[in-house]
Amino acid sequence: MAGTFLGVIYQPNTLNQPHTVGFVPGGCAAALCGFDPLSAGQPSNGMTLSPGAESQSGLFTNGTLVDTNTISPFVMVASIVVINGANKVVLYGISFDATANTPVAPLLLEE
Amino acid sequence: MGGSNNGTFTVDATFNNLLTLRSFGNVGTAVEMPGTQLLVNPGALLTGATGSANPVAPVFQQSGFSPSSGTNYRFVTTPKADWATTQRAYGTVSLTASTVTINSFDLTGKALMPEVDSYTCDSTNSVLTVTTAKGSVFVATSLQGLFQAAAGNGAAVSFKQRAT
Repeated sequence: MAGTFLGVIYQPNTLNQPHTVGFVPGGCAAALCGFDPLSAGQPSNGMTLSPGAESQSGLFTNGTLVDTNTISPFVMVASIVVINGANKVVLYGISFDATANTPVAPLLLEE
Repeated sequence: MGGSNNGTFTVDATFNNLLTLRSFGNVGTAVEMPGTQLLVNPGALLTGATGSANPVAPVFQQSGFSPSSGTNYRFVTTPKADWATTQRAYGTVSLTASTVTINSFDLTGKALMPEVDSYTCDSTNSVLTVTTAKGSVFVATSLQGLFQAAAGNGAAVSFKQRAT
């Protein structure tokens, strides 16, 4: 996961609106570190995503997402698509934030 | 989602694949994977619309094909607000010429009851109609192996499994 990822953290309730996020490797203790891709200041700075070990090809079942609250287990599936001859990674995940009482589903596309 | 809505996309100054949507003073965003997917976060664009209060929309180009028999997909659920961790969280979907077999797991990895359903494919629009015990489920597919099912808490975003 060497690239820059942009996408949406989807939280399907009225209190936690989906927000547009960015993740890059490096700069934090996790595999992916969140940043704000929008000048409007979405709340993604400080987020981290640790997918954990790949339990099967393209499947990560023991990850952790930190977005104010620490959210685990975090499950993520990954795949590669070819864009203009270059491999790009697609990451879809799901977990449940027990503190905020909402499902959490990051949908991330490599830039 | 109501009637049609016209707006504009503006490419972000820093990220080429990040778009700002504006329509009648309302603002949303989208992330583009060229030729593959547009991931729309409508933001305030859908204020007042019925349905989900805070939707997100993965959009594919209609590619005009039917997935092949023997294709296997891996998916995660796109949850509704009342989704529970004991419900389907992720799994696999395998296609034959006329059936889909869904093997799924809850968030802790507990295997759930497998499901076998019949389906037909509208190859012009690349949309599968899956007949389940709870009614029809519509699945948009893309040539790059992505699919999006519209099925409540069984809804899923997915892609073709990589060769192992």
